[in-house]
Amino acid sequence: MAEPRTATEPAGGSAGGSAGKSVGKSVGTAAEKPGARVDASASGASTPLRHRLAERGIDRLLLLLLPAVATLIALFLYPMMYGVGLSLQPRSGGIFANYVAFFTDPYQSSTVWKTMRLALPAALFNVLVSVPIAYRLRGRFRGKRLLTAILVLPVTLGTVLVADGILRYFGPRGWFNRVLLELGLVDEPVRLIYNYWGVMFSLIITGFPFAFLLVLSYMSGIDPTLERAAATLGAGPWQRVRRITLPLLAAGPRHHVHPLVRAGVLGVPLGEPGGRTRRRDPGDGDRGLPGGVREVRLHDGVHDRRADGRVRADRDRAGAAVARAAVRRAHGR
Amino acid sequence: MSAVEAGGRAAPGFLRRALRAGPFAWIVWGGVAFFLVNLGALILSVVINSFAVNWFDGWLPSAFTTNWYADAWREFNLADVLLVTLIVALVVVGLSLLFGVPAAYALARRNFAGKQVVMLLLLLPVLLPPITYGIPLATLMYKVGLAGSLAGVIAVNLVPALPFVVLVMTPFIEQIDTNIESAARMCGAGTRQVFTRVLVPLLVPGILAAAVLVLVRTVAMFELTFLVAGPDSQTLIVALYSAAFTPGIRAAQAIDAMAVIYTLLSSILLVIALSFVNPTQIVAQVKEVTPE
Amino acid sequence: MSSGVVESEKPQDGFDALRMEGVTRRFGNAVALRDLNLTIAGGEFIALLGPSGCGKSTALNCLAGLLPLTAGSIWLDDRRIDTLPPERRGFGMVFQNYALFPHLSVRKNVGFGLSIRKVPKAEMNRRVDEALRLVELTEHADKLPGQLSGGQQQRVAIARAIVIRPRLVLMDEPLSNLDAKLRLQMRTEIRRLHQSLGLTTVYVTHDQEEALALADRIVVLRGGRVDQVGTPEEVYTDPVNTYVAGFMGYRNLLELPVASRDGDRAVLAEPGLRLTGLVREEFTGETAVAAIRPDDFRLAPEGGGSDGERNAVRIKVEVVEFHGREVAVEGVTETGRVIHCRLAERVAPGDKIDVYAPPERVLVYRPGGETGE
Repeated sequence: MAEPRTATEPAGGSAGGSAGKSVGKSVGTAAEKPGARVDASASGASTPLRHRLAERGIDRLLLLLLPAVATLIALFLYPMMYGVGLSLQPRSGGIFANYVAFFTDPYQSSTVWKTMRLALPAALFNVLVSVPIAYRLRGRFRGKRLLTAILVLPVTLGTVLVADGILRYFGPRGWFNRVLLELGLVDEPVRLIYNYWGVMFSLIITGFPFAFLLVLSYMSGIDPTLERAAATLGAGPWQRVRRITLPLLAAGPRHHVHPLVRAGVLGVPLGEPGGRTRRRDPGDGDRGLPGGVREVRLHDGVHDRRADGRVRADRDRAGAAVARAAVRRAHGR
Repeated sequence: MSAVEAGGRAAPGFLRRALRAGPFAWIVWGGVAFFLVNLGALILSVVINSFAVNWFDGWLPSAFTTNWYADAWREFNLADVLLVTLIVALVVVGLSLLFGVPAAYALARRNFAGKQVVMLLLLLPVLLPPITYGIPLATLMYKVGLAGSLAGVIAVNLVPALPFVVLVMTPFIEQIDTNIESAARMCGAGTRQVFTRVLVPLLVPGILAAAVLVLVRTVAMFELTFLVAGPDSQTLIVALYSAAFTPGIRAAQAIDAMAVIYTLLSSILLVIALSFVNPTQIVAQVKEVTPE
Repeated sequence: MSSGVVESEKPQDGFDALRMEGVTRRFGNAVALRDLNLTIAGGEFIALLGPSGCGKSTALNCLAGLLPLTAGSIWLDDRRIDTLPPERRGFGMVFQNYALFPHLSVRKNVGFGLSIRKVPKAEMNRRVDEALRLVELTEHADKLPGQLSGGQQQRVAIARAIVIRPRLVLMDEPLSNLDAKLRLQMRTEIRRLHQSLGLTTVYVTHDQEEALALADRIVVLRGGRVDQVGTPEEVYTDPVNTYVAGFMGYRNLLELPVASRDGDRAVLAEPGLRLTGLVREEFTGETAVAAIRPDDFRLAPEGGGSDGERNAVRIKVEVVEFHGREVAVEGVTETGRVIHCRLAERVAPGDKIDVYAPPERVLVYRPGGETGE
C-alpha cells in the first residue's frame, strides 16, 4: 500500500524539452487547448512560454489559417488599403481634397442621394414584405422547400435577363401594359421603364429572394413553442405577433449583423454600387484612380438615356465598364 | 384556424392552410402570387423573344425560330466561354476548399488573441459589394501582370469564395465532438490522419454544401471577373454583358438567347445546389437545421 | 506521420511502474492539479475518485497526453512520457460519451487503432473478432454506432481501447451516461475484463461504490491534490480525514465537544449524546468530529440510554427509506442532532429507538477537514 509520495525529486536534468522523444506536430484537441510540449522544471514556478501561449490558444494549429489569411491579405486587404491610400493623395489640395470634390460637385453628390432614394425604399420594401410571408411559411409543411426554391430562383436569372425582361414586359408594348389596356384600367400605356420604377422593379426582383430567405431563416429560428406558450396564456394571433415574434425578430441573433439590416443590405443586391455613385471615385480626376478617371457622365453609346433614368443593370455594369476602362488605361492597354 | 395551430406542427400542405386562413393570409398569398405571376411572365417574354424571328408588336411574335441559339453559340464563342466558366468555377471551388476548410477548423477549435480581427478579415469580402474591393484588386492584377489571364480571374474570384467556405464550414466543424478527435489520437492517429480519416469524412456534407454554393456564386459573380478578364478568359456572365453592351449591332434576340442559356446553366446549378443545401444557405451563413 | 512502431506492439506490453511526479496543471489562474505524486504498478486497477472539480479528469487527460503539464513529469519505468503526444503513448482511452466514430462500423471503429498501426489485415480481423467476443458484440459488428444502444456503444468504446493491447487503459467516467441497471451490468463486465486481461487501468469516477467495486487501489482527490491512496478496504474502513470519510459514505459527521482524551481513544459528548471513538487525526481544539457509517449502527435492545462505551444514542425516527433488506433511517437526538443509520429492523416515523455503534467504528477527526486545508 503505497502512501502518496510527497517529496518531489528533481525531474532529472529536464529532458531538453522536445529533444529526444518529442515529435512533429503536437496538436492536442482536448477542451483546454493543449499543444505545446513543456519542459518540466522542478519547482514548477515559471510556466514556459509555449505553454502560456498554448493556454491562450496559440499553437501550431494556427498555421492552418495561414494560406487563407495570406490570400486575403494579399488580394483583399492590401488592395483596399492601397485604394483608400490613393484616395487620400490628391494631386492638389489637402488630404481630403478628393472627397471634398466629390461632395461639392452637385452631380456626384447627387448620386448618393439617388442611390439612397432607390436603395432604401427597395430594401425596406423587400424586408417588410418578407416578414408576413416568412411568418406564414415558417412552420413545416409539404412543399415548403419547393416554394422556397421558387422564391430563390430569381437569383439565377442574371441581370441581363432581368433587364431585358423588364424592358420588354413592362414596356409600352409589353404584356403588362397590354393587359392593363385590355382591362380598361388605363387609357394609354403606363411609363414603367427608363425611370425610377424600372430600377425599383429590378432591385426588388433581384433583392427579394435574399431578403426573404434571411428573414425566413430567422423567423424559423424563433422557437415556435414560445408562441404556443403565449397562446395558452390567452394571447390572440395579433398579440402573439406583436409581442413575441416581432420583438424577437428585431432582437436578432446576438453575434451576427442584425438580420433585418443584412436582409435590407443584401436585398439591395450584392454588387449594386449604384453605378459609380459612390465608389472610389475621386472628384478630382487627376490622381485618384490611375489613369485619371474623371467623373463620367454616362453616355454609353448603346442606349441613349438620361442619367436619372437608367435601368439598374445598365448602371452598375456601366460603372464597372468605366472602372475597367480606367484601370486598363492606367496600364497602357 | 389560428396561426399558431397552423404553424406549430406539420400541417398537411400550404394550400390547405391558405384556404383556411383569414383575410390577412389571403392578402399575403395574393401578393406572392401576383409577384410570381409577373416574374414568370417577365421571364417568359424574354424566352419567347429568343425564339422569335422578330417581335415588335402584338401579343406574340409572328414567327418562331431556333436559329438565334445557334447564332449566339457561334458568334459569342459560347463553347469556349462555357469552358472558361467551368474551369474558373471548379478551380475556385477547389482552392477555396483547400485553404478554407483548414482555416475554418483552426477558427472553430481555437480561441486566441486577435481572433476577432481574423474573423473580420474573413467576413468583410462577403459583406461588401465586390466592386468595392474589385477596382483596387483589378489594379493590383494589372500591376503584377495577371490581368486578362485565367489565373487572374481565378485569383480575384477567390476573394469572396474563401470567406464563404469558412463561414459555411464553421458550424459543421463545431458540430463535431472534440472527444472524437481525441479518441482518434489515443488510437494512434497523427494530425494528418485525424483529418483524412475522421474529420473529412464527417465533414463531407459541409464540404459539399460549401463547394456547391461557391460554384453557384462564382458562376454568377460578374463584377470581379469583368474587371479582370481578357477576351479569352471571360466567364459566361461577362461575355453576356459584353455582348449586350459593347458597341456594335447585335440582334436583341441573339442576346436574349444567350441570356436564356446563362439562366439555364445557373438554374441547373441551383437545382443541384438545392439538393445539397437549404436554400437559405445560398444567401447567408445559416446552420442547417435538419428537422425543417 | 505516426510511425508504425508503437511500443505497445512489442511482445511484453506491460511495465513495472508509472510514476507521476510533481504533476501540476494550471489553466490561467486556476490550478487544477497541484503537485500530484502517484505511482501505479503494472496490472493495477486504479480509481481516481472525487467530486467534480477535484482534478481527476484533468489528471487522466494529462496521463493521456491530451493536456500538457504545467510542471512535473510522468515516467513509464525509466522513460519520460509526458513529452510525447497522445498518439505516441500507446494508451487506450474510453470516454464518457463514448466518442465512437459515427461514420465507421463497429468493426472499423474497433479496428481503427490497428489500421493506423498498419497491422496486416488477417491479424487485424482476428484481433477485432476477439475483442468483439470479449465484449459480446459479435453480432453487431457491421452496424453503425447510431444504431446501437448506450450500453452497446460503451462496449464498442471499450473494445476499441483494449484491442491495441495498450500499456495503460484510461477510463473517464465511462458509466455515468448509463441507466442504473446497465451501469451495474457494465461494472461487472469491466471487472471481468480486468481480471482476465490484466491491463493496467486508471478509472475516473465520482461514484464511490463504483470505485470500491472495481479498483485495486483508490486515489481520493481534492482540489488537485491527493488526500488518500489505499485499497478499497482501507479507504472504506479507515478514511484519513473527514473529507474522505464524507465521500466514502460516512454520513454522520458530528462535531462535538471533546470530553476526554486517552491515548488513541477520545470521548466526545454533549447532552443526550456520548460517543467513544478511535482518534484518526490529531486535533488540538475543544471540538472534534466523530464520523460513523450508517451501516455501523445497530438497533439496541430495549432499555438503556446513552451509556458510555456502548455509544448508544436515542433518536426519534423522522424519515424511513425502504432499501430491501434494510431501511435507511434519519432520526434526531434530543438536542436536534441528525443521525443516519441503516437497520435491518422495520421502524416507523415517530418511533423512539436506541441505536449504537461500536467504538472501533467511531472515527474521530480534526474539525474543518471537510473543506479547507
